[in-house]
Amino acid sequence: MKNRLRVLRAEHNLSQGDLADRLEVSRQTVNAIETEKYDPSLPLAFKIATLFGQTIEEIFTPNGDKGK
Amino acid sequence: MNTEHQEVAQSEPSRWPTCAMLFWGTFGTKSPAERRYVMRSFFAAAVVMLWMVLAFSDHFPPKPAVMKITLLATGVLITYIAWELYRYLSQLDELARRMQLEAIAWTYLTGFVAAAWLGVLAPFSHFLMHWPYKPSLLTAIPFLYFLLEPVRAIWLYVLSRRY
Repeated sequence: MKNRLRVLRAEHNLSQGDLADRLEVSRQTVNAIETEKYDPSLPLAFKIATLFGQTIEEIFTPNGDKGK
Repeated sequence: MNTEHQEVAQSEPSRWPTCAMLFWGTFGTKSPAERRYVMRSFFAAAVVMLWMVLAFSDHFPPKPAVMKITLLATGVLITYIAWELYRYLSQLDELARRMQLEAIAWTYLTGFVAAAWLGVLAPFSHFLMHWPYKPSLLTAIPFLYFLLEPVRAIWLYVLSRRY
């Protein structure tokens, strides 16, 4: 699953640790999602989307789908 | 992204705590849940070991009554450690819990394969062939926990390389 988490985090001037604290997960979890080694659960994906005020589809894109 | 954003977005290494994973089978976060699990399981394991040393140093093999109490205490304490591990797992975030559960699954498979190969090798070894008939060796079964925990820790370390 591709995602724009790193870009969004940068736009909000958040470190991985800051974002991890807000999402109540570990920094390694944020890192694994950003590097696309781990796909978050649906509840965590919703939490990320809510935090950045976007929809899940705007942040996460299935592999092979180039998006809109 | 502008330059400032690019600096913030620098990819940080994942930095999994190798020592904590290999020694305690945890992630070294020092969270209350992790601290409680480490302290309580270490204390329970230490009590088991100390009890065994005292029971076996007094008389070997221990007298029947002492042996029964020792085995009961061992069963209770190892069950308690398993309960504390369950509580610890329930407090982890989703990636950490996934890694722990995967490590437990791989530990199970490792033990399964090891047991299968011990069965294969049994006909070639007098000890392996006859140990089930030695009641004193059966008392060692609860201590498989102490063999399996390092295996779980190694699998946790291996899995951390993936993330």
